[in-house]
Order: sequence, then C-alpha cells, then structure tokens
Amino acid sequence: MPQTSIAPTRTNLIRQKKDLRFAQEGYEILNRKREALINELVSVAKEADALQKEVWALLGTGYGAMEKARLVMGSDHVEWAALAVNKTVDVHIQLRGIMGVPIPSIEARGEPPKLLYSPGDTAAVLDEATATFREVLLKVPQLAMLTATVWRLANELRKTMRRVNALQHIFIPQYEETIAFIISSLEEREREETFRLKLLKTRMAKSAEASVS
Amino acid sequence: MKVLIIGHPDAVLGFSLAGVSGRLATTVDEVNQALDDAQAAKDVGIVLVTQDVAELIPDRMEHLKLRSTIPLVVEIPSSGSLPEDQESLGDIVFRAIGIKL
Repeated sequence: MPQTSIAPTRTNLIRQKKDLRFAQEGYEILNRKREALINELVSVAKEADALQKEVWALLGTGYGAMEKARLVMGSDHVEWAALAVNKTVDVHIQLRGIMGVPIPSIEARGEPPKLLYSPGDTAAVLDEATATFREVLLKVPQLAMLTATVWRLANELRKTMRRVNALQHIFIPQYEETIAFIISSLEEREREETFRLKLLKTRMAKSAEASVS
Repeated sequence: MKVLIIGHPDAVLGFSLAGVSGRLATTVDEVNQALDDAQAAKDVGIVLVTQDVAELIPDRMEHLKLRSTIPLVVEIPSSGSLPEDQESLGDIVFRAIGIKL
C-alpha cells in the first residue's frame, strides 16, 4: 500500500528517491555485516559447544565425587580440606571488537596446587573430586570467553537480521511503491494538462473563425 | 583477577577444593546481593552462577551474559540438574542462524 498521505509532487519524488537509495545502501552494509557475523560465529561455535559439553560432563563427575566424599568424610571435613587450598587461577581480561560487539579475550595465569590438604586425613574420593574441579577450573577461563563470544555474536546477529529483513521486506518495497505512485500521479497530471491545452487551442481557433466570418 | 562462584552449596564447595572462593545463594535476594558485590569488586574477573539460582533471575542473567565484560558471567549446571535440560551453545547458535552445527 503506497503512502497516499504523501503529496505527489516532484520535491517529494526526489526526497523519496533519496530515501530509497539510503535504505538500499543501509541494506547492503547490514547484509555484509550479517555475513561477517555468521562467519565469525560459525568459526567459534563448534569449539565453544565442544568445550561446554566437556565441562558439563566434568562437572557431572565432580558433583558425583563430591557427594561420595561428603558421605565418606562428612561435609565438615570436606570444608576443612577446602580451606587448605589457597592458590588459584588468575585471569586477565581484554576486549576486542568484532563488528562493534565487544568480545572478551581472556588470559589465564597460574593454576591451583595439585595437592594441598593432608592426604592421610581425607578419603580417596575427595582427591577425585578435587582433581575434577581442578580440571574444570583450568577450562573455565576459555569457557567463559567462548560462551560470552557466542552469546554476544548470536545476539548481535539476531538484531542485524531483524534490521536486514525490515529493510528488505518492508522499507524498500514501501519506498518503491511510493515512488511508483508519485510517478504515475505526475504523469497523469501531465496528460490532463496536455488535453486541457489542446481543448483550449481548438476553442480559441473556433472563436477566431467566428469573429472573422 | 579471580574467579568467583555463586549458587548451589555443592558447586561452591566443589570449586573451593580448587581454590575458588564462593558465595552461597539460594534465594533471589541472595543472588542479587552476591552479583552486586561481584560487580562492585575490582578483582573479580569471572563469575560462575549455577543454573538453579540463575533461573531465579532470568532477566538479569540475560543482561549480564550479553553486556557485562568485567566480570564475565557464565552459567554452569548445578548438581541437581542434568546438562540435557539446559540450553547449550549449539542451541543458541542454531536459534540465531538456523544451521545445526
């Protein structure tokens, strides 16, 4: 449906054509952005998905081992053992931008100590739990980075796609229809004008003839 | 910067075995308070939130996951729930581009 509220004048025609060009340019740029985002997302998604599944599986094992350790030693003992652990992973976060999306890149330094509590005092399952959580922790910085990247890129991609679709399916056709409407109205007016002039001409010729004779 | 864990007691205890400090949280207020503190703290780089408490504050989690850079917020499974009923990264990508990897 063309916007009939717009007066079919030449000025409006020029203005609408300019808007249409602007919309088309925007569409092209956004479309390219969309492609770049998809490329970026696909390249990290596989790695991220695999790492996430790995960490989830590890956590499953870890929780199971914890449960057992608590059953064998009692919650208090496990907590005491945990108190002995004092060194942990140190992370350093930097930001880089992909198509205006801030993406973190994380550097991890140091690692938790292999064994800190006295093994004589604790059950073997606790060692298993500690080892598992230790392994999880070593993967956490990488996981955090990839998860954040995927989330943000996916979100930006959704936004971009919505804009691309809006331009492609709503705005550009609307401008095109309006322009077609203005052009046809202008042409119609021109034809009317020609007809009026012709009519006027014949009338003048007739009256001139009458006055001569 | 440090890693911090917020949420389920099992997860907090488990990560403390690897030297990660944690905050127990089971109610909406506790989680919000813990997250506020984590955001205010200068030395917290990554915040792990267990799924059971993340579900209590879906809007804030969504916002943090998308916007917060320091600290980064990551949701992890809690001991009670199986990983299958969580939205994996693959699902997110699938929703965004409509391609299954």
